[in-house]
Amino acid sequence: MVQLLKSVVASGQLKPARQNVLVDIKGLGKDYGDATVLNDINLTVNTGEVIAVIGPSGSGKSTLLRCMNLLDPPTRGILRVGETTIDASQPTTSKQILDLRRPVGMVFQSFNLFPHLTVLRNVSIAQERVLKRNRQQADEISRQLLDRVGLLSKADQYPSRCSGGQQQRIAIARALALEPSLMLFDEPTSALDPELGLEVLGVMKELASQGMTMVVVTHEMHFAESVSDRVLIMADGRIIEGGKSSDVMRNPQSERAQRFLSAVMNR
Amino acid sequence: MNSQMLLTIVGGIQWTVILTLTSLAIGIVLGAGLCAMRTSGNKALDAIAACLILILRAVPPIIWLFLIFFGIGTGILEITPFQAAAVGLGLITAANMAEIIRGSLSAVHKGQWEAARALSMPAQYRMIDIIAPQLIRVSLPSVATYAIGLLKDTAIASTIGVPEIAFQATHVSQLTFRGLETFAVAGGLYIALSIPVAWASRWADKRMRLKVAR
Repeated sequence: MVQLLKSVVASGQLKPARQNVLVDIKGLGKDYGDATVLNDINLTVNTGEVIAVIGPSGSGKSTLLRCMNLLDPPTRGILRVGETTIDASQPTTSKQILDLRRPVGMVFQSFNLFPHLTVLRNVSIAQERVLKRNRQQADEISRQLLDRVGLLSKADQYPSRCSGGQQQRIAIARALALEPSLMLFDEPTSALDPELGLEVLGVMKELASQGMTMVVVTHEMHFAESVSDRVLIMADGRIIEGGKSSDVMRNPQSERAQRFLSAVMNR
Repeated sequence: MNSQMLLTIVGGIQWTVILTLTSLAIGIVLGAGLCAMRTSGNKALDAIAACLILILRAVPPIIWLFLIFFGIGTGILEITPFQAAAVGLGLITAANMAEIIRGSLSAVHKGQWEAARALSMPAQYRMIDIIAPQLIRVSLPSVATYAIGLLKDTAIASTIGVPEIAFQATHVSQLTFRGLETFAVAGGLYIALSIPVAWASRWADKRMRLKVAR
């Protein structure tokens, strides 16, 4: 990892001053009409860090994640991802939006594979349109990625022929195909039964161990505690607690966090 | 009914088919535009499109054809009966296509847009590669039904002198005073044209559905 970082810095892809902080969020807020769903969010994500975001339903976890790639544009605050900075008080151009999303991969709760494309084409299409790879190169890389998530044999099938766990692993391969520096996971196992969820968690663990920067919104407490470096607990649109995973999970400070954790752990 | 009469009526088929295809093509292109205006999120564009769609659909096709052919076609622009019919039926088709496409758009899961956005695909590719193919699958049955209706509606183009099936049948019946056989043949030709369209659409629909079905 250190070796990799050194070579990245040496090649000038990242400015040294920014090499550690990949995502910087300052005073971010989100309103839907009169309802405030996110308020005063401050968060930095370091390169290589795995962050789990937990909290009760409706606490703004998914919205925060979706603000980070502008699927839901924030109402207030400043968001920097890599080299692109968005200020919610200024109008954003579609180029800024595409630039910000470029290094960010996302995996959805409902997979959202493209049903009219084969598994292989699902992974290839964005490589061709965004990275301008030709079809042969893209398909070659897609096959490698599908092999990595254990689904090369499904390459020529349509997504509807795959189980939920397989679809989600394909969705991970699809996001990885654009060589993201940050991966966002929005409750990736919530639509899966526990066994299928395990396949997906396995792929995510491997990704984490390879040094991928990840922000994972999840209800998988074991994953949050054992795989992530840092856990954030959200409630009522705010981050109420954050820190080293074991500390936050075992020894929460605020009453609200204690209440939430005792509800999810002691069942 | 002799072969001469039959040949005359059959000679109208090409005009019926060409008029149907031309109006449908105009309708799909303009209809997509109207639908884009309706779903743009811009209130002014939405209102203009909604108003156009209302007017296009509320006025009977024959009035549109007369308006274009006798109104605009005399004096303002030199316009042939076929052009007038294609434009008139094309405009009406556009209004209906706009609504069909809009309905189909809401049937495409919003996660599809989000996934394409999250992959940082530029807007034109989101549409071409991801949304449009699914839109075609969803809207095909409605479009095919409309196309069959349009095929029959082209008969009103006979009133402004497009030499399609109904025009030729009228011509033959006036020469021979044998309305029953003449118009029965014409009716039979419309059936013969409609059935393959229905079959083809059902076949294509089944094929596309097979891909996405579990």
